Amino acid sequence: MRVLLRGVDILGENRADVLLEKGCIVRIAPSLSISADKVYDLDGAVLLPSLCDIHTHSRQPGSDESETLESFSKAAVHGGVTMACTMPNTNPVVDNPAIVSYLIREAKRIGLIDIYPVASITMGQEGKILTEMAQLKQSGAVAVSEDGKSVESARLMRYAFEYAKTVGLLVMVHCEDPSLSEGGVMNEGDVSLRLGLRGIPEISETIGILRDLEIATYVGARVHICHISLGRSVKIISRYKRFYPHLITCETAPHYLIFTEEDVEGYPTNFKMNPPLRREQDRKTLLRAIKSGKIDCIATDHAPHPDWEKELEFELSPFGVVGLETWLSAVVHYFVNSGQLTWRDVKRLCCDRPREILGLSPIDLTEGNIADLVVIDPKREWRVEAKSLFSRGKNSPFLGKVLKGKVLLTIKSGKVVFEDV
Amino acid sequence: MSVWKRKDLLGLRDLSREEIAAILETAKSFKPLLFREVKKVPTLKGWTVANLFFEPSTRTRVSFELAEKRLSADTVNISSSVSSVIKGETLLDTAKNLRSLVCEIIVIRHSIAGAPHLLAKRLADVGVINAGDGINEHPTQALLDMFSMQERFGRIEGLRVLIVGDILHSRVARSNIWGLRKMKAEVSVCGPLTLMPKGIDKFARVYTNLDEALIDKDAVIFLRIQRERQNSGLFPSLREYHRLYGMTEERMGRLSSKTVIMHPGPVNRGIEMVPMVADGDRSIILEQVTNGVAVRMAILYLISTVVRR
Ligand SMILES: [Zn+2]
Repeated sequence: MRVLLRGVDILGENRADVLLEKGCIVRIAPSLSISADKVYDLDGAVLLPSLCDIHTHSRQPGSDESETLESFSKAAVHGGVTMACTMPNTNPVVDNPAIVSYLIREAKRIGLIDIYPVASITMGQEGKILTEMAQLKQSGAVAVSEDGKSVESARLMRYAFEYAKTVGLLVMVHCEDPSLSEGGVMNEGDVSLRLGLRGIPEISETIGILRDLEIATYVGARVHICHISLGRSVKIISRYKRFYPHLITCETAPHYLIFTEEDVEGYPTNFKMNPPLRREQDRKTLLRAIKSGKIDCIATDHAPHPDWEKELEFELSPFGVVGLETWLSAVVHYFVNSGQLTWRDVKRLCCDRPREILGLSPIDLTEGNIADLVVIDPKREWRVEAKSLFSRGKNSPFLGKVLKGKVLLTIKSGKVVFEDV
Repeated sequence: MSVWKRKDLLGLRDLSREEIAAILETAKSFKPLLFREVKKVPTLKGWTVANLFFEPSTRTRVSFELAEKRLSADTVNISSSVSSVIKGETLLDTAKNLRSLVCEIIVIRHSIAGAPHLLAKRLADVGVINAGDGINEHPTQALLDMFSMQERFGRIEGLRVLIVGDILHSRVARSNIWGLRKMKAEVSVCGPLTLMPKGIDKFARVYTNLDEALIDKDAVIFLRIQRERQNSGLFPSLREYHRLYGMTEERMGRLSSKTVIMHPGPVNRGIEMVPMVADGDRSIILEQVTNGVAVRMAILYLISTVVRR
């Protein structure tokens, strides 16, 4: 199978024809007159490596009404994603090798993306007994995390870091002090005061981060901090990174870069997530930090919920929004088209650094490399609607919005897995 | 009266000065009715009003019911505990049931902020009145407070109003702050910092010392303290709370002669204030109760002019 991509802008910089064969990029030239099984005239759409999302919730095993691995995979490739780390807070919890292998195998069978499972830190995420991390790693888990919450006991968290270091696994931490955040449903501040909603204070995130950074650096273990939402968190992490540059990485999610607490006005449940949307100044600091590299990467925290769960009162509806399908589009719409980020920034934040965090090397768009690719048209508009999403969860904060930037092709190992040319 | 164009009353934060003034004006015209021999007018004859209470509240419910009856409306009382939510019946299920009962106005009290807003959005042809949602708003209470102040002082603009107690968990405080600011009163709050919401200083002057706070105030609203707050560590004891923020005889003695004492009720006697204060000549607590009916009649009437039958 030979696929010819005609007239793509490689990293938005130089236009070329790209020939794919046997899963690899075989030729890149200004103009190729070669026959192929499939030829796409792409006329200036941008070619990037396909995206790697290190923070998602596939809801599998256990919750078919939220997402299946099939709908999850389709949503991923619709967004230009071919690699996804799935968090272990499922039912049952991903705490044993059988579930890890199941997820990898099922994704392979569906054949659209690769799943890199993250296993839990403690059995059943109960915060009592560590999981069998060596065996989890052997079956394919790339990291451990208690995502959805923190391990409450600092002592057990210390053991977790030490043990994960022993077996060579990355620890991804959801930082939250539950004694401070309990009962809260949005950021504590002017808007929660105005809306009469219970607040989640900034310090529940920062104290969580400080604790885990202290423990990880004390025992010398690798730590990745998930979904940071605050300017204060950036400041704290940068300070630790200066002394421990090889131990610490962190991510933020697109919604923290685009929306703020003001969007919670009117109680729309598609703007309820944990950590919550923060203030405009936080949004600006996060944006500067992804540009400068203080924040390593963007991950979606894709969290599908069925409609009936999101149609409840704001306080009762669950935390979380979907993100896989709007990730790249939104980044292009809000930041690339406005000149705040370059295509190289996008590659670094959504492709390269996420891979490096998992211990994989980046994919360069040169001859001989594997053809895991995405083609996006930065000028094409599309309206985000429930029916335009492949995910079973329609709980997107972008619903009803028109985004300029549409994925045309997603290619995995030379095979077209999504097409909307 | 053409200022009023809303089918719902969800909170005072959304209302304009003119809209609040229209409610108070209408309430003024309804009040004499309460003292007539025949206390009924046919304004809402043939209308059905559902009182949907997800949280126990005798006072507010009775006040609404009385207002509805004075206007000749048929009333349906539905008391549902939030446990029905746990049973799987959502607010929207309830809304659908109400739609089939064909009622024109719903009065809702709910423990969750935004619940009336959700209902109002879903029931496009039904008027929704917020009778208290979570810690968010209790607009009719604040309106009756403002009505009582206006009656007493002849104006609201320029009045110095102090709210004392648990501002953090109080929908009465929030509605009063939004409403009074719109009517250009000067609002201040007083209580321990553990009971103050973050950012409140942008909307009201904050006092932690009651004696200082009481100086030169026209009206002081004491909020009911929930005894459970003590257990969550927000203040050490009711005894100490009373010592710091309770209205005592001694404090009454130092109060300026014009100041009136208010309370949304029911008063925890001996905690927010000693009985002598609650029953004293500065207290307008009972007037508040009477005015509550007039204000709720005004709101029901104004909303009925917008809701199509
Ligand atoms: Zn998380």
